[in-house]
Amino acid sequence: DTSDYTRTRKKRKLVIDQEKQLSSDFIRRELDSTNDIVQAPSFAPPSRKSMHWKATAGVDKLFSTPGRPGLGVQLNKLLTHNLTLNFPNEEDEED
Amino acid sequence: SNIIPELAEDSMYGYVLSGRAALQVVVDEWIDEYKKDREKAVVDLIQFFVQCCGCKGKLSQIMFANQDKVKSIRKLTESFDEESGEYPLIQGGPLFKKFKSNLLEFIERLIRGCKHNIIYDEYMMDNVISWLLALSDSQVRAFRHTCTLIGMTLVTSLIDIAKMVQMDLENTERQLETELKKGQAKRAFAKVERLQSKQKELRSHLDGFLTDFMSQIFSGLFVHRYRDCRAEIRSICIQELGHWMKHLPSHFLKDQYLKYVGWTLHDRHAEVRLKSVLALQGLYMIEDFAQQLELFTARFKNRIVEMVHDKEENVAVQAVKLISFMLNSFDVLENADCEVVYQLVFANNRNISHAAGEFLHKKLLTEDLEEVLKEHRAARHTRKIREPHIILKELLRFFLENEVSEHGAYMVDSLWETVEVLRDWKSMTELLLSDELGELALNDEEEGALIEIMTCAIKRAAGEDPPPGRGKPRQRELNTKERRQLEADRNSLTKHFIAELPELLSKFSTDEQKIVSLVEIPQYFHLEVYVEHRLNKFLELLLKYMHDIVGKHSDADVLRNCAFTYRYFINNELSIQTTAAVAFRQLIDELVSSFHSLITDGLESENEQGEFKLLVAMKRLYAFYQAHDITDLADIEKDVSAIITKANQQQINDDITATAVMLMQVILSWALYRTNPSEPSKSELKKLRKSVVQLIQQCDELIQFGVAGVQKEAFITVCDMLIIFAPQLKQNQNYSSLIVVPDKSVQIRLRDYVMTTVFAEEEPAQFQDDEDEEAKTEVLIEKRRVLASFGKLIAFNIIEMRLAAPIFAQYVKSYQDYGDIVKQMMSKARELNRTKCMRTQLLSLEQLFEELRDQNEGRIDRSSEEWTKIKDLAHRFALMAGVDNYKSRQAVVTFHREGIIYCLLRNGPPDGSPPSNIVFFDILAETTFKLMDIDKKGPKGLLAFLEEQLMKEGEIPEDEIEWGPLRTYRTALVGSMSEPYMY
Repeated sequence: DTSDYTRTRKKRKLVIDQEKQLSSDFIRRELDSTNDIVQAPSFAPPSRKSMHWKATAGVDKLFSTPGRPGLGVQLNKLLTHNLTLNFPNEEDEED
Repeated sequence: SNIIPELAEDSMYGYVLSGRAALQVVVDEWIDEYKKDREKAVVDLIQFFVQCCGCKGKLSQIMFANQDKVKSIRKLTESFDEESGEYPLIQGGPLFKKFKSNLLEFIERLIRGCKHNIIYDEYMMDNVISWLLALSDSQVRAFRHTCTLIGMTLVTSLIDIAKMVQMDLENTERQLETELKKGQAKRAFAKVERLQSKQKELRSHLDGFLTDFMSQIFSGLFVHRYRDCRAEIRSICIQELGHWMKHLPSHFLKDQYLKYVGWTLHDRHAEVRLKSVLALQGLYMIEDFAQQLELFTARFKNRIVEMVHDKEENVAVQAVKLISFMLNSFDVLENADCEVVYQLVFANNRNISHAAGEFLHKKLLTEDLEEVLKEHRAARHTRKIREPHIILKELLRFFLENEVSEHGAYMVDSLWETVEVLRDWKSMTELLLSDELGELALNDEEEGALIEIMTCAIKRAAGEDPPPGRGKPRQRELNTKERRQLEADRNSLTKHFIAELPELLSKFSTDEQKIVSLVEIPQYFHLEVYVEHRLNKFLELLLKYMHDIVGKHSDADVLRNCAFTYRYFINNELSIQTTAAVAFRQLIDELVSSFHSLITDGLESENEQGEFKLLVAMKRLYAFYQAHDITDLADIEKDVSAIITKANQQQINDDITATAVMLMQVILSWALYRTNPSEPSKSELKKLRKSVVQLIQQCDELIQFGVAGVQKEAFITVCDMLIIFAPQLKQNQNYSSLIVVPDKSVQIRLRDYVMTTVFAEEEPAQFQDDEDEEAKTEVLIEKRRVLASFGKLIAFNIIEMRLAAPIFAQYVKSYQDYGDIVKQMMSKARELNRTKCMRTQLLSLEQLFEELRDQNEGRIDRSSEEWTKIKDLAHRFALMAGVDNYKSRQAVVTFHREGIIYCLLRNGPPDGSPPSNIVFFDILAETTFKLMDIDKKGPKGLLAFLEEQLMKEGEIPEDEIEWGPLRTYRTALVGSMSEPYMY
């Protein structure tokens, strides 16, 4: 009997669970199928090439490295040095 | 906090909550009180439980005595006085942080304090249990949750007592037996009697009381609450049940209890599944339990194996660990079960793959090999086979037979912490080099696999990061001990390979697949070892073989790895530097003179052999130029430039052209690198700028007239050169004169190249089966590179933003393959200049609109899918303007003003028919939600602007269908309320 609770429930913050238990039906369905709580595993890139892509073809990497990969650190620096908007530019338009 | 009941200060609850005094004192005081007035003490205890639930209700002795507990509990809830839905168990903050552990400790101490008499007095426990059962069955969640915890813990505490009683009983029975064995004459009757009565009492405590308490709570609380609608309550039940089974197996380790854990393995809440798996781990780790778990295992094994694919990472990880425990004493796992786990060695997820790695180590590389290893030990082979060889061979078999991955990095990462042979350089090398290993001798494929695995392992041992996606094992810095370990590992691998690598290089020198890894190994050496151990002769040997390898190979990766290995030997202060530099100089000399001697033949048409030789020579030079500035050794700029010039005039070998462009780019890059930043030579800069301009101009030609391969390299070179020589060079004023800004026409051609290469409609079904999946990805990756190369020019303000309009227009359409790149371009463009960015987006929409109209003979079907897509794009552009309407205000208004002008554009004077762009108002209407009210309806707002523009149109027919879009837009500006704007 919950009538006593419901009488005052509106203004109260006490948490009442009208249903205390999972129904037998619900539990039976849980036991019958677990499809929604398992998933196919995701595997690492299968080849060395695809691993390399995973490491280099993301948008952040693409925007911070030269268009042609493979250069040593010094030449990479020449390019990345200029990937900035922070330099004196008198032609800057005001927004 | 507001949920401490008022009487907290000196109540048990107050003590337990704050942990102010030792809990033992509270327990002792309660026992003293109990001895004086047991009813009052028990009421206090129940009151304490009620307060622990966060309830401020006062339990009177009348309520306590009432047979109808449900009624009493309802009365308590009326004065619950809650101010929030929270209660102590789930309350945050430091005060409540320790509440749960304090409470559990209190109960444990209480039961221990009462263990001699009070719990058997048929009063205290009867009352405590019946109240806990009633409270744990309440609809009030705070009661149910808190009292489930108390009740379940109570049993856990009783189990400790039961174990003590059990031991006591066994002792007593043993003594009694000894006594009874004595002859009648020697027997001490008093002692026997005492022992017999003690035995009787202990038995009654155990079977009469303790077991009964447990059963009451099990059947009165557990069997309801394990299926509570709240996951946190179910979790408590399963966790504690696991504890009971483990600690009182004689009573609880039975199928009638185990089945509950089996069921909750299917729970929809990950937390409950996790608790079930952990409970089972506790049982399966004990070998003696095998028998009792047999039936359970048979029934639930499949589900447990399935759980290694659980959606929740942690559940999957713990399931893998559980299966590892199942290996301990059960022969229950079938091969198929193990295969499922083995596969996960290649899983993306770090923790799952590492758990699977441990399993593989325990099962495949240890348990399954036991027989072989035993035989091997018994046979005392005279040949050189050792155990690590056998383990490595098995690992190779696994690696080669797996169907998930064909490279070693991820497997090595999964096994790195558990499989010792991965650090056994000696055994690996022996397998590769020795011919005395009989049946263990490797075939070609196994050799390749071992070299792959060995190289990955060397990189890890030298401190390289795990492969992409596997994360760093620790985010923190290494401590001294770890750093020393790393040093030691690296030293020992260096020492080993300094001596052995030359032989490996020599044996596999012509095998591209194998050599590409082997030549990289020296880059992980501690070069000091050469000096410290006087191993120069090995260095010379290594350099000799490297030299031969460069001469034998034309593969870009092999050559590149060689070049970077040379660089590693040259770039240091050690005495070995000289030896390396001499060898390097000799090698480059040879490459350059070979290049020079091959040019004439190689540029002749119809001389395939000559072409090929020249191409290889150039590839070798390019590989070394990537890593080193070899300009001083290699005077080739003029010749390379001549090749490109020739390619501009007539047909020469395409690969030669492409390589020449790449070479020229690095030559000029190094030229810039060589200049002195504080005082560059003017003439050098002038010469350099001239060469750069020439290269860009030549590449521009090649982009227009070359074949696809040449076009692409020329395009990438132009983009990279435009960045290197961008206005950003002004960061150092000395370089201002070097800046190259391309002609508008060059810019447009770059853009058009992107449009045709990246976004052109695909010829369908070029790749058909899975085999080609990788080739397909490769094409996509190349296109992404092309797009991003151009994207950087936009993002860093190197070429005109408006040119990107057709690319922005592709945002939704090509979202799957390029959406991230186009989005990045747009957000960078917005950072540069919001108004310009929105103008460009307006242009994108106009272009799409015109294109669609042209396709449909000048008409737009406003209900068509194509039109909806363009409207959707407009909507997304507007969303992208940002959440801060003030910042984007001017840009959005400009977008609309210029949009209005565009919609009303006419070639001649008004002729009664609507302007040809009238439908475009639909697009503008999509984006009015970004406008502020004042910009819509204010005196200088868009509505006013629109009316002003419309004056030129004269009278507009009220409900002419063709003017519909204008009405739509106007309505969008006025707003649905159609109230006049108030200001």
